[in-house]
Amino acid sequence: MAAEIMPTASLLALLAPVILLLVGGLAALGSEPFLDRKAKHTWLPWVVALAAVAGLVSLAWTPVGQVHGLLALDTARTWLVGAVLASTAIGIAGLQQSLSRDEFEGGEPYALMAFAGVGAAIMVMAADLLALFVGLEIASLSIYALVGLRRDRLDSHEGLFKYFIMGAVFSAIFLYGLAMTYGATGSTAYGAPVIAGREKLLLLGHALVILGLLFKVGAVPFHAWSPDAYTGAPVAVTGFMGSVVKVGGFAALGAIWLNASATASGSHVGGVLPLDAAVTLTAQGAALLKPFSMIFLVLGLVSVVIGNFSALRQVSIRRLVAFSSVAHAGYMLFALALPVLADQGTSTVQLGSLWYYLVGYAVATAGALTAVAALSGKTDDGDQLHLLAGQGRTQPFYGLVLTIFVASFAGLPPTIGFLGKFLIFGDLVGKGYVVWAIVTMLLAIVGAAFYLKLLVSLWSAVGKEAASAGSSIMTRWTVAAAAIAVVVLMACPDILTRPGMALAGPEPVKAAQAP
Amino acid sequence: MFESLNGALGPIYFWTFAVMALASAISLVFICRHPLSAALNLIGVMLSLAGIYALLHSPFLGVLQVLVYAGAIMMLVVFVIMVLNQAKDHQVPRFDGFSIIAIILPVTIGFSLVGFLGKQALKAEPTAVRAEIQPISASLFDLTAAGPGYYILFELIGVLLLVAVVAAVLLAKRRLDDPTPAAEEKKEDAHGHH
Amino acid sequence: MLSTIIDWIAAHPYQVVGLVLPIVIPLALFQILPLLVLMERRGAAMIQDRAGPNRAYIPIPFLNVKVRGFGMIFNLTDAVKLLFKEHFTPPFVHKGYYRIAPAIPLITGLLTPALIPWFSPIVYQGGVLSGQTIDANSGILMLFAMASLSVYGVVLGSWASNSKYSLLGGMRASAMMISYEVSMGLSVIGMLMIVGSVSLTDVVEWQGQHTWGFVVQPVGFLLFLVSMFAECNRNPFDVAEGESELVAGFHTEFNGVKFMLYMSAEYLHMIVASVLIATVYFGGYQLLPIPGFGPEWVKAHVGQVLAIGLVGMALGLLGFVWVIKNRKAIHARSDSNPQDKAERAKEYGLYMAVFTLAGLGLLGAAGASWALINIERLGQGWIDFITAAVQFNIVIAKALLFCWLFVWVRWTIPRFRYDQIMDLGWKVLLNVALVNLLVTAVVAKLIG
Repeated sequence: MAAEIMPTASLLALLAPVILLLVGGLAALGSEPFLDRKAKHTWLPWVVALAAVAGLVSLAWTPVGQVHGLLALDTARTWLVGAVLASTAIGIAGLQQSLSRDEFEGGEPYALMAFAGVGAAIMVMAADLLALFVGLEIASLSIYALVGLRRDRLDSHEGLFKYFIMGAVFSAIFLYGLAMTYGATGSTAYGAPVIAGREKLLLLGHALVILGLLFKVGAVPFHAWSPDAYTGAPVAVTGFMGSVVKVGGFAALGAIWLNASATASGSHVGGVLPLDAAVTLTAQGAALLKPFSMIFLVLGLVSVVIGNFSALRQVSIRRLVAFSSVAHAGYMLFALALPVLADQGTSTVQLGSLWYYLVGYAVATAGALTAVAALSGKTDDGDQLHLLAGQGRTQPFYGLVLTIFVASFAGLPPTIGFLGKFLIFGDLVGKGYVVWAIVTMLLAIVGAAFYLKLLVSLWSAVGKEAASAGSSIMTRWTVAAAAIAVVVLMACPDILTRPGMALAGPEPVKAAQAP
Repeated sequence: MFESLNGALGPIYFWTFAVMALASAISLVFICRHPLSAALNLIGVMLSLAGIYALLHSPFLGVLQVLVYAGAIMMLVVFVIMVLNQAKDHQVPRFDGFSIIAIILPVTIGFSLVGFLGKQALKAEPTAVRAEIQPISASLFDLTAAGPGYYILFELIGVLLLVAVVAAVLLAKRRLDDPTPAAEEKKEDAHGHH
Repeated sequence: MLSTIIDWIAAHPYQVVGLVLPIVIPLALFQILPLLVLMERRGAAMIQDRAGPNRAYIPIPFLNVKVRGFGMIFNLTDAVKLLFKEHFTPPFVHKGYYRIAPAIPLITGLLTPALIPWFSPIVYQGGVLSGQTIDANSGILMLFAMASLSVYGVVLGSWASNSKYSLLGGMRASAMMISYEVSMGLSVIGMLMIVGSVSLTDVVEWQGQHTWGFVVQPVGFLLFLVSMFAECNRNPFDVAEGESELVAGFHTEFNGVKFMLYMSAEYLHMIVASVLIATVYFGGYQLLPIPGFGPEWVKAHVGQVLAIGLVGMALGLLGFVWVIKNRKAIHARSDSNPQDKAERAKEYGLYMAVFTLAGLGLLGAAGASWALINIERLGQGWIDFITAAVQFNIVIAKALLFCWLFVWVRWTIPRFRYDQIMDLGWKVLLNVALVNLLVTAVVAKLIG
């Protein structure tokens, strides 16, 4: 027997957050043609943002369970869906900031952002490769269009083109892997038992599926698109895509990985595993998965190296965030691979630190870029570091929240980023990878250097009174909420749990031994 | 007599389609120099695949393959190629650096697939009807709790298509705010006069 | 050896017919082409109130009569001319595609009859002989697939011609095909939803048990009709040809047999489209739009049904004799030269004689069929086949009506502009089809 198998839940109750956001998006899309340009940017963001917030609130009443083995909701998934919805609300605020400043002609981007949120939430909730793929495509297609919003800009076209073409190729690779997995197991569910004699086919299928997902999360060596796509997108979209795509992609990666470790240990009996399940890993399973864990670790390390050193030289905040997101993908790969690296004998696998890091990263990224959107001046070029100089003094509120978010990126103490990194480094040391821990720590300090550069520029006194477009109420509220969340989640990580299920706590629920 | 005739024809059909598919695919990648020839070869691949689907007792899948891929999507591709008829890159070299990847990758995957599957062939009931309309609709719209729940995905795919439409309009429409062509022309005139 | 084969055929009549039909039916449809061409030319003349095709004739030596055959002789001269013309290939074309392209529409056109239910399924000892050669559940989808493939002939030919006019025609054809396929599929789904099956045989059987499709799906029928006009590249949707601005559109650079292939494919598609409309919305092989006269009733009274049909044809012929008589009188009063008058008088006399004889013969055949064709005299096998033949002719008769509609529309409505076609397809037909689908679904659900 493995970890808890999730009970069946009512469909509508389970999907309530997603449905609320979807209805918000549809309402925005349907009412868009009847509003004039100013009204579009006044009302539509509110419709979508309120829908996202309603979804966020409804998460408090959603059941723990799964429907048809396709979609599931448990503590970790609840929080990740929450992160997606929060990122959507924050992103909508930033988008309103950007679009109303640019006097964009259409109101569709708001609806698209809602749909992207829906797709990412489905990715998180998916317990089946088919559901994952549909969610992935909904999120990807919306985000392609959002990246290309600034239609008069060449870099926007470039980013869109690169992202779209490469995304399509990797979607195909993912689908190819899905087909092979189906051929090997006769089912599209995560961790379905393999048919005897088709283990290698399953391996190939899983490899391709993971390849596709690694592209989506922008880990090395599939990170080439992210700087251009991040730069091409409007600032708010950069933050939004950075957070929701990562949440969706890593949730899927983690779910597949968790199921794979359960299957490899022979402790998977079908049904849907919760993401916060404590899977008992046998020595045999650990031996089977160790090479792949090492691959993840190496990819993670390379991601951290490339991300951090490339970010050092950037002057555009979007490009900086792009490379820093590559580095963060590296840290998250550590969090993904480490729990499976058992020394010997049976151990318990929990991906709590990954989920924790992910929630923190998502909220901080969306918040930071929305704050930058509010700070940057008349055009999107205002996200260049020297144009941002002194903005912290002219607009202390945004300066303050941006500081909090950047501190979270850098992993400085009063923020969630600190605890996330701390869990990973602690795990590295605990598993005996001391050298890795030291190297990664040093790299994190390299990363802190460019975050510091950003902060110095933000608060420096040299800046002129660069005219800011002013910020809306929604931006202020959402960004403030995100900043508070970043601090509060650090202070009491225990709220990331539900009764009976531990997320990152020291005492995992003991699962029965495998027969 | 006719049953035995069908039995004898089955392998002939299969090998015809298989050879056609492979020949079209190889020609598509290595021989064609013009995009239109490549597109036509792709249509050849799709038609052959449709035939193989039909042989596998999945006629619905085969028909959809022809209708959707060969008929609609490739028609769109051909249309685009024709629009770009005068483009400079309408002749590409047969072999370049990318060809190496195009050889190595499929060969690797192909061999590994053959290696995995050759040892343990995918067994399937040869006469079972699979992708036919009734079984597909039955499993797609099975609303019972014990069913596969694909209706949820069906609804989500509706969202996906909506997103695709909105995204395409957002990216490709000439002017977002004023939908009528007359108004567009008027605007252009106004710009011209000032 | 030969006798064994004959014996075997006699022992397995249904199987042999099943084997032969897939070849015979497309060829039979092909024989309607000259009739359609004639219909087009006569129809054009009639609608435009001018002289029709009457210049080509065959002189009959001893009777000293010139047989014009109401313009039928033009088909012969056309065929001779197109077949024996020099096979000129312009030097600038892409040779391979230029040669392949004209065959594609014809091939798909000849494949589609295999998917039409021409007669009700015949149950015999040890099997069922279906009216559809390919009795697939997804038959109608396959029909659409074939229709969509046929456009490649136009597109490929236009591209291979390497001429701007052709290319423009081909691009229009491909864009139009994509646009109208959507509304075509959506409009027919309403009918399929009511029937509850995608199989065309089921659709026709349902119409026999209830009523014909255009009664329950009038909007769907109109949409389907319009889409079919577009799919056949017929006026008012023949912008791919567009001779007023594109010389001759996609077949500007084609001549001789290749041109003939394109032309015959166009008419073949017209027939198939008419047959499809008749099958889905006008009862296919069903005799009457009221229940109670289904295939079983026809089979029980096949002699009488056949007799009534023959009488109808005979009356038509005799009526035609009366028309010729009037024409003859008119011509005699006209002021053309005496030699011409005499020739015409002889020609008309010949026609009147032939048609009167034929009409009387048909009347006799009708009487014979009423009296002789019954199950006691002929046995089950012949009755089955005669019923099938009668049903086939019912379908063809309905289809010919729609062929006439095609001709009628062509010479009545001017060609649309290209952007008007796109507007109609995407902004009108598609939306109406969706609404129709929605209403149909709701009503069908409510009725149950």
